[in-house]
Amino acid sequence: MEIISILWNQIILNPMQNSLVVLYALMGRNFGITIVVFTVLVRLATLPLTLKQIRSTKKMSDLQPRLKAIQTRYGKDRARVSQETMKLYKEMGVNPIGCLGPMVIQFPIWIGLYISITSLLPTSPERLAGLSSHLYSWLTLAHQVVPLNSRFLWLDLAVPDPTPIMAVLTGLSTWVMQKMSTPMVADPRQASTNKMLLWMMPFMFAFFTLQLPSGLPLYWTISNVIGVVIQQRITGWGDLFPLFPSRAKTVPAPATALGVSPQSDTPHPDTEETSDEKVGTRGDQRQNGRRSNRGRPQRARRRARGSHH
Amino acid sequence: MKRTFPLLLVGFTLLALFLTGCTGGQFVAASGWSGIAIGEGAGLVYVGARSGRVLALDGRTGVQRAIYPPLDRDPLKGLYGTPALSGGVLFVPGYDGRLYALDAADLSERWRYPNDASHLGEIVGGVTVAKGLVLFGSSDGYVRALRASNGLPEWEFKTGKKVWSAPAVDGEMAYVTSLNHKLYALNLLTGLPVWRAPFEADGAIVTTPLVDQGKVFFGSLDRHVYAVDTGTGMETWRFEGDGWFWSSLISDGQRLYAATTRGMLYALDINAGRSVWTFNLQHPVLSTPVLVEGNVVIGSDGGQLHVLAAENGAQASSPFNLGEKAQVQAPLATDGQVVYVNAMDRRVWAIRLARGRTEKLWEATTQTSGKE
Repeated sequence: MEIISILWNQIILNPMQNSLVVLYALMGRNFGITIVVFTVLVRLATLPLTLKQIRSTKKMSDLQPRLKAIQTRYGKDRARVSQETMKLYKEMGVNPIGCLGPMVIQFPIWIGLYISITSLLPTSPERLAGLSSHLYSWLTLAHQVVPLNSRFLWLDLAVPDPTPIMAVLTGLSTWVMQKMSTPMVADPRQASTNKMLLWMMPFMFAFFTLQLPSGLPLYWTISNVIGVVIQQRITGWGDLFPLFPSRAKTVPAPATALGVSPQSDTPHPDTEETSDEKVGTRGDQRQNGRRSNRGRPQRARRRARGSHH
Repeated sequence: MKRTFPLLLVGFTLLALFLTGCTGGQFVAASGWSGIAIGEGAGLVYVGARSGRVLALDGRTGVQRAIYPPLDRDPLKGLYGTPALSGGVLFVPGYDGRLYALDAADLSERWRYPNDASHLGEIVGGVTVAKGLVLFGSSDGYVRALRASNGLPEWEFKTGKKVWSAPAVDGEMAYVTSLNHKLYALNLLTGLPVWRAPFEADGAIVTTPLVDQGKVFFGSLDRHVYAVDTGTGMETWRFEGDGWFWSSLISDGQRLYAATTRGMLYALDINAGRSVWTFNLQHPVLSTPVLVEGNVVIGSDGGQLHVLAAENGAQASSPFNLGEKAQVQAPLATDGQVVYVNAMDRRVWAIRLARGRTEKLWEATTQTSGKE
């Protein structure tokens, strides 16, 4: 356990705390702005992973019709379904758990930031005293600015926001981020899970916000806002604004390479949508593939279901 | 995504446990490191326990004689500042932002301030009693003076940032340090600033100032010990150490003794501010040492008491082991012969020093069976 503690301190906690202190000194000794800049820097550092995640999610969405086709074709032969699925992933260069990268990275950042906030601001004398061993001895500036000023706008960043504002902001930004990034899936069970996550995540974050020093929810909110901007630049608004649908609404027709008939795995788009798809670029198709069923008129969906029977 | 959901669930559960303090509260709860006040003739010693209660222990045996609050009432939020005894009254600074005045004989409450449901900022430093006034600082950035007899406010002075040290009194002057890097000289009776401007160090200050030979000495988190002229408020000298000076300084008239959070104890020439000798305790020092029979007695997070010759820093005896978990963070106390230690493992020790040898008189637990 001691080695884990040493590694944690040396690799994550100490660099984070010292960076925050230096940023604080550079940002006019305002810890709120420090957290905002820190969030931007973390987002920049993890941008390659974020882009990879978004692309991976897109690819997964694009593959949904073909995955559905595999499931339909091989039915209860789960071994074969699994084999064909993996084959398809390999063929298309998709890593099914590739989307986990940024999320896995976020956990230690959250925990490190939480500890940093409670030490640097500080919430108890012990926390401040314990900070001494985490600041680099050669970083004279760091020893001169601690403990940091915790006031930012209406917030005391060392304690939970007494108003519901941060909880609402965190919950709302999480919901928007979740709504935009949730891939469209053909599997109804998975769709149901996604739907649950869409609501569960914002509520969980909002609940945490009510319990935790408001510095951490500030990080979450800013991080979500940046995430929304990145997501919008790459995939558009997704399902966020039904008022502004993209040009094409269809799921790309499943490839026939597997020998699966397109009619057998995905709902059929109506004629107009098909002609749209024909004139669209491949990029358009991929981009809009993720909206699939949700953006399609109810009538077309019913018709498509009928084609399965 | 199928694999994402359970992973998310596990991750969030762990995160919730960690962040909301379900891991034993080690990341959230305050507990305290109050020191010990010694009664007349060491008949009773008073300790602020980590359980949030004040205990009166028999000075000769360690047997508990009285407790506050009584076990059928909730404990205080925490106790960091060392209680002060004066005129048969024990003044207890509470982390709940209240100052309690207790009868020293049975620990019954005489008064508290504020005496309603309100509270001040958390009180982390100790209290100082002088000329019928009780002085203390709090985390709301104020230093206050109350009448010791009835707890009525006499004056208050705003520093603007947390005050985690006890004021020091010398004649008509009170010296106050603050986390805002400043040292203030105030008129004891009025609370008005005496210097044209407070002295400003490079870092935050949590040590109680020490007044000796016309100078105020204090350590800072900027890793310096400062000497400031009491008349002018100007710096006389400063000394750079290897870590934060968290524990307060002590003096024997010739040398200052100052320890750092990196475990180094410095003996400094009080006039010139240069190092006379050093001793490395290997563990962080938060506790304020004491002087006994020409020795510096000091504890650290290592759970040991070191007895060092004040003259040259040589070990007068082998370290006294309190136990691995018995970190010493509270200030030590002494009646000139016996050293009292309130260790972080909830035990109080009475250790006699005789001719450089250490001998345990008694140890007592501060664990109580009431609501904690």
